[in-house]
Amino acid sequence: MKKNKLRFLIVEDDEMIRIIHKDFLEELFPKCEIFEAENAAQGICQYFECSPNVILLDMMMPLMGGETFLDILEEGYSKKVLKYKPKIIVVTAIKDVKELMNIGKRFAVEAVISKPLVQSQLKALLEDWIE
Amino acid sequence: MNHSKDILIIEDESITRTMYVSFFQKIAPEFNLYEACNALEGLCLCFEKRPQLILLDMIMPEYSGEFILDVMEEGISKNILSFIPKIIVVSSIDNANELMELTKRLAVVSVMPKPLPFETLEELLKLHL
Repeated sequence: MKKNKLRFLIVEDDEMIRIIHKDFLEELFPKCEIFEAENAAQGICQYFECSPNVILLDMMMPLMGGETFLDILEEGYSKKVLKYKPKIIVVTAIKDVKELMNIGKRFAVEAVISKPLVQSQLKALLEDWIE
Repeated sequence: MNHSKDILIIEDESITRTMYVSFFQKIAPEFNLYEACNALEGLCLCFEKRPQLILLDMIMPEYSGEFILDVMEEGISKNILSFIPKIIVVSSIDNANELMELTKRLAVVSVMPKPLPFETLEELLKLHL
């Protein structure tokens, strides 16, 4: 991933948390583009319209949650309808270890971070991927 | 306006899908046909191919046709989507109220009964293709 071509998508129902994520990313990568979605339906539309290379995905959202978002992308990859694979970081308040393990094992998921988000964790992860 | 020459068929039953495919090959041979056997695959194909027309089955296992309408509606109403396909819903639902509700959904241009009356569909397609 190139630092000056970073495109983030934040899928999160809580507006305050979206703002916090956004401020943090903008400070870290001033030239990045950031798209936002407040549920999985908006998220999936943004994914196809904006081609983000990193997605921060909340799991628990009303109506359509993060699980649905992952289901759609995984079906698309397995049927070879989708070609490009962004890095998905699941940000979740789930504490159950088994559940976390299961999310981590999902094909589309690159990393799982606990919520509230520790910014240094996210920073370390991103810096690993970015040239 | 969407000028793509693509039609997407979303239907879980393979025999029914094959029937639809041969129908479209006959009446709209210049169109590319794409097939999806469930709502998730259908949604991915819809975004990737941006078809002019979608033939959408309502009752499918796991994620239904309604799920696709929900996602499309959210994308259209929030101005995220840069295209709007014409969706023909195919449904064996015979409750009049439920059918009426379906016709009111964004992007839905028509609701057809199942089994599909091909002559009526052919007339309808003259308006939309």
